[in-house]
Amino acid sequence: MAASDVYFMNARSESPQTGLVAKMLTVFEAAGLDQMIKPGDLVAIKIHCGEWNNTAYLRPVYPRALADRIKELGGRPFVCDTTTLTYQPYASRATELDLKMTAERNGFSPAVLGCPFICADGFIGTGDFRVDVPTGYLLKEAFIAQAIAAADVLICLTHFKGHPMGVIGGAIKNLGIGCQSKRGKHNVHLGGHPKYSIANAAIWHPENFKGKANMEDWKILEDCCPYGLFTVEDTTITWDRPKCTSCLGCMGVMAPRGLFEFPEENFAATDAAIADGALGAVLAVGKEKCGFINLAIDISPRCDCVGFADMPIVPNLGVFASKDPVAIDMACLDKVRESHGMPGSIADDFDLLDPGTRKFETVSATVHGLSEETQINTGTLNGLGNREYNLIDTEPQPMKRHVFALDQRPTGERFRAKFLKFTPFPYERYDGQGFLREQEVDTEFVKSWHGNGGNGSNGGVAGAHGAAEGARSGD
Amino acid sequence: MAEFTKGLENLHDAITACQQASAAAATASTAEATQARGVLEGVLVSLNEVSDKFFIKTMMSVPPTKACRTEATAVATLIADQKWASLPAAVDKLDKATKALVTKAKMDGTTIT
Repeated sequence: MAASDVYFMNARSESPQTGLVAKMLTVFEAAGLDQMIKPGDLVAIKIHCGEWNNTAYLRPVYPRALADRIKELGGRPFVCDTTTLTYQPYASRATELDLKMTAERNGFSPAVLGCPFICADGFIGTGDFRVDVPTGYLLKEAFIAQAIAAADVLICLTHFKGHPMGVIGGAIKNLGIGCQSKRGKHNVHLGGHPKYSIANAAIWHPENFKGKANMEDWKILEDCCPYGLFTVEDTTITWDRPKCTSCLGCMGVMAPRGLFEFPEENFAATDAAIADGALGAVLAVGKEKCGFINLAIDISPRCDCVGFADMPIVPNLGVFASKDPVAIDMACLDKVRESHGMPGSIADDFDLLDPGTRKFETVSATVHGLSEETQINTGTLNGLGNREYNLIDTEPQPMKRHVFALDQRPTGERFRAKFLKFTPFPYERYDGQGFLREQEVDTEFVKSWHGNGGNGSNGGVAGAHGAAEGARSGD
Repeated sequence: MAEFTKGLENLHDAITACQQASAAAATASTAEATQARGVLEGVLVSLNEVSDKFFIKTMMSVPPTKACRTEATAVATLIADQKWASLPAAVDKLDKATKALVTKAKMDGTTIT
């Protein structure tokens, strides 16, 4: 199998055409993703809108710029995300209403995006399209969010970062979790699975419940489960285990209180399933109709699905585009490994500042023993893509393509008549100088702090010198 | 996989260092040693309490347990070398590292997925 092409531009910027928005559009075209779009095509731009109070997710200007470009190509873009499983008691994106309100708070509204923002799997998350995944490593079917499955073209616009369960969060995870309906996420998280589901994999320790009287917040033990499977009595807790769906709403509640333990295998199996879910999404849309852009910036150790964002573990690395979700993730992962770790970040806590280290499986993974390559290797085995890639350095486009797009006339042409009518500069004041100001000041004086006694403004040049000399003499 | 000691290993090392430090402090008669012994007893209770928590099995436990191990080792070394003047500051650091570990071990608001 020939290596896949991955188009790359680094994160340095010194001009409009080398800014990150420009680079995103440049690699989009270099990778031929624009060629996938025909006039009238419905184009789903799949993003991660970020959990409530997360701050590392991609800024809305990226999907906006991409949507504008797609409209220029004649496509009909919409930006989308999907409802989540509950994952934790205070989830902010588990229904369409909550997802849209959180997305809007994070900046993703139709007014900002220039196109609709859609919850792709319906109000609760059961709006989906079932697809067979015959080559899946673990999953044999997937449930893809309806609006994504109905799109003519899918562009996954992904923030590349770490993830506590998936270890990495890249294009594969944007497909394998992000494009699944809520039903599909139950599947990928292996709800009901005879070996890997929470019901069957978790080690349950009800003996560690010390009674309501000894647990001020005992109510959360019942209230963390949207299916109502935990019942707390005065001195006992019971779990209707066979009905557990692996929604994961209880994990962060039960585990810290000693009621649950999770074997590493449960996490590792989910990581493999993510790549199968990803294949399902690609099959639902069509392999030739899926394109991938990864922005490896603000590379936080945990996903945008947590309600906070830790310091980046490495510096910003750049912008990638490809038709192969496996290759693009492998390219990003290699860049992270090649990079120095960020001083002061969690990478520093783990002594992972030297290039050549496998950072995510240490700083991002929840439990020991997970691999940052499981998604990639599974995605290669199931036919999703290829972990071998050609990294193609991409040249910037002409500057003129990335200047203010709404009116590309030079400023003289745009503003001359208006400035004559509404002159901002008051030429008629102070003999044409316009404003009341000192004629000259000591700019050198204010480059250093001379103490509160030093006042270089009121007395003009002489006053500034006088104060400075006073400060120097210790007055 | 990067080389590092796991949370539980760090914790056991920290407990061992605290026990050695406490035993050595018991043989000394200085005020600093007496004060250190009092703090070390509380630290040992806290470290033993967190040892069976799920947090200790996670990757997240590595940095805070490593900090406890480092500070406990420093305290044990100072007591062994009878460097009493430096001991209160080192004991304070160990106490703070232990409190930080206890707080993190509650995993308040942690999203495991």
